[in-house]
Amino acid sequence: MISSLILIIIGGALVVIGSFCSLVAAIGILRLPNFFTRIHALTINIIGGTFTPLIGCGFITLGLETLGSERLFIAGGIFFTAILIVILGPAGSHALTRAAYRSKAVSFEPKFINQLEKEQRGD
Amino acid sequence: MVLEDYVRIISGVSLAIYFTSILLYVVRLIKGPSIPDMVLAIDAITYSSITIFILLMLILNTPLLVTCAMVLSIFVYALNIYVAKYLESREMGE
Repeated sequence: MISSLILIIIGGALVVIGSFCSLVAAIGILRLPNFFTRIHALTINIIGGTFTPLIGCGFITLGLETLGSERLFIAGGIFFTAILIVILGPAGSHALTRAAYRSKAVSFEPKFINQLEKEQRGD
Repeated sequence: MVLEDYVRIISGVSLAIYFTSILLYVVRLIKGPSIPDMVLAIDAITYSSITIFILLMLILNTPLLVTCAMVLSIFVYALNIYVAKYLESREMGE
């Protein structure tokens, strides 16, 4: 009883943190001026807004005894999805950013500094 | 019984916040000036809907929704890789 109470309280706190991060990422994607700054808001959504509440929901399902013996299946699925996201999400967004930089499909305005362009030019 | 009410309140409030953020992502999806911006918005929508599936599963007690979340998390990765390959070499790998 005590252990399920602790698990549910920790899981609820993680879910609340995740929803806050999701709202911050939504405002960032809507308001930031550039593609390369918007991809930063997207990774806030990936790690803070999806990975954290998934771990929290796994703790909650481990703690809820009213779900019966199916809760081990559910918690295993949730933890597997969380590990998949924390590996594949940053890899995918990095591939997208690299392709967008190399193919010059996005505009750079407003630009303050571009260190990679300087290095490729040989300064 | 108190624990179930606690879980239900937290899941409901988080569901409302996630639906609000999906609405903001849709604005960026319509407004986006280039192709990578639209792909970025679709990524964000799919990641939020994964969390929405998991929270709905907690509220409705339906364990099959975990499978949908698993499939969606692989679909986003495949979409990113396809669009990256198309942008870099102007072809889909056939």
